[in-house]
Amino acid sequence: MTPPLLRVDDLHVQFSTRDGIVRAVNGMTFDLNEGETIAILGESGSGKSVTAQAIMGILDPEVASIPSGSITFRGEELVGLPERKHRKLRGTDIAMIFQDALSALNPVICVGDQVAEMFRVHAGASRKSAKQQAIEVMGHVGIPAAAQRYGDYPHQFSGGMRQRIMIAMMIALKPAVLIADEPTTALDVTVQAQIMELLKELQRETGTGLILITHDLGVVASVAERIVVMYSGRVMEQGDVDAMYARPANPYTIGLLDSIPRLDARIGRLPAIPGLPPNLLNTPSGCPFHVRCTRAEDTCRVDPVPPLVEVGPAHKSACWFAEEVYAHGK
Amino acid sequence: MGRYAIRRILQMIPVFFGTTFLIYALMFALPGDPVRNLTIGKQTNPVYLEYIREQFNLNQPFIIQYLDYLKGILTLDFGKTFNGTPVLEIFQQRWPVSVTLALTAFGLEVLFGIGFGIWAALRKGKVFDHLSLTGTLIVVAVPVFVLGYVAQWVFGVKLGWVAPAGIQDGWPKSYIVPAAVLASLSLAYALRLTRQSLLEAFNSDYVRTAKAKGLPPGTVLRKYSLRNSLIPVVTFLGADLATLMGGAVITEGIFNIPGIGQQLYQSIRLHESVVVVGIVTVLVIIYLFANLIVDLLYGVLDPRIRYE
Ligand SMILES: Nc1ncnc2c1ncn2[C@@H]1O[C@H](COP(=O)(O)OP(=O)(O)OP(=O)(O)O)[C@@H](O)[C@H]1O
Ligand code: SF4
Ligand SMILES: [Mg+2]
Repeated sequence: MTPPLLRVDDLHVQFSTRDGIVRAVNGMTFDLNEGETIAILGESGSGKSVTAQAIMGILDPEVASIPSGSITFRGEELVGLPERKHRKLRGTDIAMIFQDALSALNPVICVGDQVAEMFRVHAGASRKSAKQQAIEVMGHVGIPAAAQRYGDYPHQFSGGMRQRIMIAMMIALKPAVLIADEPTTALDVTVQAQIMELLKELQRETGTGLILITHDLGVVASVAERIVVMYSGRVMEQGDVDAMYARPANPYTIGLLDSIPRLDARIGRLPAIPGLPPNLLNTPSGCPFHVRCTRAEDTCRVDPVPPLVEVGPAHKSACWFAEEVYAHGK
Repeated sequence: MGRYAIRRILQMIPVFFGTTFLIYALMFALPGDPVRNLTIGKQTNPVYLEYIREQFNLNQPFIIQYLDYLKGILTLDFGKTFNGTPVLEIFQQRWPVSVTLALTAFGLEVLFGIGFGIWAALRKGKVFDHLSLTGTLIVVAVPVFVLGYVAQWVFGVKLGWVAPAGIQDGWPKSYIVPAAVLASLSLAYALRLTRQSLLEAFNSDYVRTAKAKGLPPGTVLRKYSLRNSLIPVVTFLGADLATLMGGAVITEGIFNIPGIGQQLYQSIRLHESVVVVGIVTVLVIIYLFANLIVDLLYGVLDPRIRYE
């Protein structure tokens, strides 16, 4: 059997800080296949961005470490891969789009050069041909008059256009895996839809595997095929979008779904489930969600952590009562 | 940008008149009679003193003296000192010395301020970083003249690498120690500023993007971290160049360097208004131009800056 495009298996990431060790990711596990879109969902601080950065290999080595777990890309182990080799994959095979394109683009280099850089550095293109290709991708992601705007700087673009430039830069070399970390959170509602549409279109065209990190449950339903719900650096539940919306098997997922505002499903951040997200310096024993879970019982408060168990086809939940929750439906 | 520059230059005209007037007035208000000061302890013919007063317009009311002086300047006649030396001649002797000293200091500042700043940032938390932070703290805390005398004693007397005073050995030998002393304070600031803004850049979103693009570390450092973090440093250095010219009074005094700073000191003591006003005015003009150049440079370095 060929390995999946990207496999994250029992990944742990921790930061050593002045206050102690922050365990940001604690056993994250998921697969991504060619051309598939998965959504990683979870409250603020659940470790979504850290997981993405671990895959990209751009965690700050001074503070971050990966004590255990594995990330494989087409079967090749990325954890512990020498930086030189990892760098060759970045931008070419695995690329990442960041949330705030204004701060994520270099303010003092014109946008065209920032896109062209991909062709120059990775493909060794000449200045002229890199420019030509950059203008092409910029046009392709919907920047009007791309050739004229090549020399403009990020601050001269609207938020949506800046995000398109970011996308142009990251899809320039047709990566096999594209991670989009809340790509639309900083944008207006109408622009959000356009950017999502663009990402989806590009993905269909190139067969890229897309990891969409988001708070926006509305977006998830229309774009992703599978969902991974994260809490406290772990997977709480994962499965196909339709199955999970119809029959969630984890109290945390139910909390998230219930918290979708009815009137405006596209409001940026999820309203919180009562209680605070976990303190990662001092994670509770047992199920990390037990402090806030309405269904929690004594077993939940003591170790071990509930394992991911299969409740339906390709549908798993990490809850001692997964079967029951699943059986009751929503 | 051209129109902006022209407007800025036009704005210098009132500043020019304001400064000359102010300095002239201050000199006029200094207590004591300049002519009598000149001749203290000597037997002098009152007729001669009167002649000098006449010669230098000292009997006229202040405003007439000032206008007379301005008239001279506009025809590039900066006047004469009491002993008859044209001020222009003094300028020709003194300015090159001070400019050489200031430029040498500036060179050290750019080279070591930026260079060590980058090094400290790259080695954050390591020995060199700590050394540079402590070193710059000492330089900032200790008065310049103390530093100057210590340097003079160590390099000029104890080690004997250079002559302790004077410029008889020419550039660079006679200039390097005074220039280092003159540069020390700004160098310390430049180092800290470079280190600080580079560290900020390392944590910025655009540097993270550059890494995510898979750019080689050298490219990330040059085109992303440095390119952005040097903007405030360049601005600081530019403004500082003018300060170095004027700030040389103490250094020139310690090392007995016949530059403009030393002249300024002597002339203030002798109430030689024409010399003082001339020097200060030139300093002000240098300062204004340096600032203009910095502002224009800022626009070149940072495309977000717009001139209106
Ligand atoms: N460099 C770091 N040093 C210390 N702690 C860090 C660092 N980066 C992230 N963390 C911690 O890791 C945890 C997870 O952060 P992460 O950014 O992955 O959350 P997230 O799920 O992306 O949240 P959000 O929705 O707000 O983006 C946070 O508690 C954060 O404080
Ligand atoms: S294991 Fe217990 S605490 Fe955790 S989600 Fe299930 S019911 Fe809630
Ligand atoms: Mg995040």
